[in-house]
Amino acid sequence: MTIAPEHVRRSETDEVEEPDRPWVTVVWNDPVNLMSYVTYVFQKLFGYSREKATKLMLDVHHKGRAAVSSGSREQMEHDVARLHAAGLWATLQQD
Amino acid sequence: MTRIQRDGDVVVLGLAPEERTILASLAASLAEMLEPSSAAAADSDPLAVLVGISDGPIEKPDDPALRRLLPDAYADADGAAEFRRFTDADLRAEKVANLRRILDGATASGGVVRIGLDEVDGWLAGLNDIRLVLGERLDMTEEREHLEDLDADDPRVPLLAAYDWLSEMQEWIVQLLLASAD
Repeated sequence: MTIAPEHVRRSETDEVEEPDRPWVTVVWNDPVNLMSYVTYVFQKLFGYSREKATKLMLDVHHKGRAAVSSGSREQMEHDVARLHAAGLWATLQQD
Repeated sequence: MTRIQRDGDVVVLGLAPEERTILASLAASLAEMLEPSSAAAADSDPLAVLVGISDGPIEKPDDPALRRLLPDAYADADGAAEFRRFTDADLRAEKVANLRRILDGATASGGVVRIGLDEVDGWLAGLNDIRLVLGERLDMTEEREHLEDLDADDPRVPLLAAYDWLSEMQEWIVQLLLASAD
């Protein structure tokens, strides 16, 4: 284990983002999307099993929202863009 | 009544003549709604257009139906605007391409549409986008109104009939695909 040399340490004022906190993609409920289609999209975009995709779909349906993926900000922006292309209502946020 | 079946790697839709007309007109009008305005295109830096990134801010659509198709990706306005600047052109282009594919299918001769597995996701997304717009126009909620509850001369009848028909079509296609995935 080692410590970073002084000159590459993050400056004290640079606290806009905390890189250790993962970003999450959240899908929100809406009255139009079919439950079967939402399940299908989760399987197709994320490679989730039918079980996992169905559970996430039901979370969206009953709780109004569900975190469907997590990772770097760039990955989550990609996931949100794919979900928007499929017609799902998705946002990303830092966990 | 639309007939839907699977033939190997192809989903086959059998559309009646009046169904083809309705589907074509819905797909064409939504594609037109999604095309970026020509004024905005004329103002843009051609290089930025080439890479799909706007050189200036992109306004959130005024139409609630378009806001549903092109939603904010971030809760905060600055993040949402920046994301929109980088993704709006590609997202619109993809949605328009899906709708053009549906339009081509609906206007192909014979009324039998063969959808390959490589293009079926685009079809589903396009059908879904049409349903989202119809749903927005109908103020659709979870406790939705049904066709039989409306008077025959209610102006919402044709929209709701189209909505129900497309919902059923989308459901059947998804069920075919889910069944084969098991």
